[in-house]
Amino acid sequence: MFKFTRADFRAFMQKFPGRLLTFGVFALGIGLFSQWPVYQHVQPNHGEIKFSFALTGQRLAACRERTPEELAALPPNMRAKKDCARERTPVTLQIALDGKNHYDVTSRPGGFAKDGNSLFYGRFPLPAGAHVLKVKLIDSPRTEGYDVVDDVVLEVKAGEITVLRFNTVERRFTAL
Amino acid sequence: MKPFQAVLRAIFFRLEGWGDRLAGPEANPLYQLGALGYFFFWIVAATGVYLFIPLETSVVRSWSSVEAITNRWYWDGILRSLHRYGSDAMVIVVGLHLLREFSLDRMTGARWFSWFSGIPLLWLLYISGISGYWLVWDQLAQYIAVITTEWVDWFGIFGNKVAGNFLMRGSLTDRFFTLLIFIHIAVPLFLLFGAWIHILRIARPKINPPKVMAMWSGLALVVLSLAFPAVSHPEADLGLVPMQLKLDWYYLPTYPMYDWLGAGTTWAALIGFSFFLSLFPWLRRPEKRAAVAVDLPNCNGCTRCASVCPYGAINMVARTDGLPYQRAAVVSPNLCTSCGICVGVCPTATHPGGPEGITTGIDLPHLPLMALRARADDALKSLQDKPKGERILAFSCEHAPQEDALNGVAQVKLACTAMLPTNFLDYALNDGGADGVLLTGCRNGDCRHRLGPQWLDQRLGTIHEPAVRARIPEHKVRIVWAAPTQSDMLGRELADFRKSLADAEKKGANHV
Repeated sequence: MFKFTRADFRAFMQKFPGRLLTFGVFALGIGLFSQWPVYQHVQPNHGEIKFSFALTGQRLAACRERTPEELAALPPNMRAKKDCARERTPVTLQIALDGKNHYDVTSRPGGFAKDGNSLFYGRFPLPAGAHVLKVKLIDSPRTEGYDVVDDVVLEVKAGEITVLRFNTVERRFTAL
Repeated sequence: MKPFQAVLRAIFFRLEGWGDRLAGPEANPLYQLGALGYFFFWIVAATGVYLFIPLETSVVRSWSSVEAITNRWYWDGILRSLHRYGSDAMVIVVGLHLLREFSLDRMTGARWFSWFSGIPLLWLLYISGISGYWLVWDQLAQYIAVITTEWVDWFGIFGNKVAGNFLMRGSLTDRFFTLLIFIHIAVPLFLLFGAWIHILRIARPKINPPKVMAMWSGLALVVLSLAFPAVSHPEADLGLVPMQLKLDWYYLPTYPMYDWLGAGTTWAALIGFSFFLSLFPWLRRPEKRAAVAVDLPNCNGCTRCASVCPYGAINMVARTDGLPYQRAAVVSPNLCTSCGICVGVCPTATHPGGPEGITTGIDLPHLPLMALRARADDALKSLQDKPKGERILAFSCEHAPQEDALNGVAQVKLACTAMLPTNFLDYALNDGGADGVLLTGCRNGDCRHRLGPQWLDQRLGTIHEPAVRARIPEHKVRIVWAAPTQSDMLGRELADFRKSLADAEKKGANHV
């Protein structure tokens, strides 16, 4: 265990002013940069918009009905009437803010069979006030146009986070 | 790389000089950076164990439990501050340790292992600290959580975006805090394990700082904790943006970097930098020297070479040659740096003035003792024209060049001054005609091979065998350990040595 003897005290007191300066500078250095300079993460009078979606694209190919011969050829436990390809289409999400393109990502479906979700995440600061987000979504194999186009009106408050949500039933975007 | 090392080395030598003058060598933190790293780790670990008891690992109660700890000022608050500042101190000493070892070139050849094993420890240190800040669940923790998960999501290895767990109020669960506390305990344990591996190839590693240094370091942290207690930011709220943050710049400088440069660039910078650091031992190929070689018939298995080796490169094994000794020394060539310190302690080394040359139990192939004697003979010859009292032979270290200060002195350079068998002093003074022998080399604390000044001081102080023969007058041998930036001091010591030799000469002449 640590013992503090008279010899230790004498050793401690040697060169006292110099050691006070040396270890004082060391302590000051620790204390100073452990909390200074202050970091301005988001500009004053700004808020943030965030979103996180896991969207499933439509199947790349439509399902088809198996013929009786095909069904008979399958093992009894695998005789499903519809034959559906697993692969899903990539999903594209575009977000324009006040007319300017802010986010444009095409996300491929996850999984080895490419039948999983397409993931989206974004976060960006916005000046406080009213904004219009134009959100466009493509989740089908179409080559032109969009599957969902929404104008989302936002009232951004300074220091607050607004979350963009997607209602998969109504297929529309809203802000929370 | 060499110019960078030279500049850094000069800076460290100057700082160490100031530290020696202010605090004294025994309390100069620059000589004990690795040991201080361990010391601060224990402070952080001990305070962490205590703080873990009242900490509540839950979304709603984590922040308030830390506030309660902080506001119990007299004890808990101080321990919380010690925990934080001890962690910061670790980063400082680890960073300085890395820079210093780089500047002293202590990473090439057989020393690659210590350097290479230290790089992963940097990552473990940072993960430990960052996970600790996360546990508080204040606005700083919220900022860290969002950035870290976005950063990790960049790899796309998870089935969902992990950052989505911090999307809005209500999206985070207590389970997450259980994971965090596990990380914050497990990673420091891995850090400790890694720190043990880091010193495996170092003999007599310094893992405890001297008592006086520990007292002053501990006191500095306690005073800092009392004067500027560590406090939390306001409680995290996933519905609010953390606007202004008092960042701990020791642990979190990469977070603003992420904000400015994005995930990919920041990952590339960090991983690239770590990879680049890892390659340092092989970026420059120093002169390859053969490992020391044991001459078995002349080895009596005394174990002195094994005990002084700074790198544990010598082991004692059972003898196989039938000689009546129990053990023999065996060298591991991949661990040997050819410093020759073992040669200096071998008791079977015969006198350099012997008629049949020098035999020894262990010798350096690139500078065997016979070659060392030949160099000494050449140096002694060059002194013959000098007046009596000024014939000084200097044995110096090739890593602490002092050409200006040693002007007028005959020099013999060694891989490490501690390589010199002490019977060479006898040879130089009594057979070679030198008036005095100056032993100089790296300043104690800067020794390229860690233990050279310590072993030589002990041999000459007769603590460590083989001891200096009694027939060598003390005033004829002067030891001055000096960094290359201390040539003025060395010059003064040399002048004083000359004066003392001249005075002794006069006294001797007066007594005749």
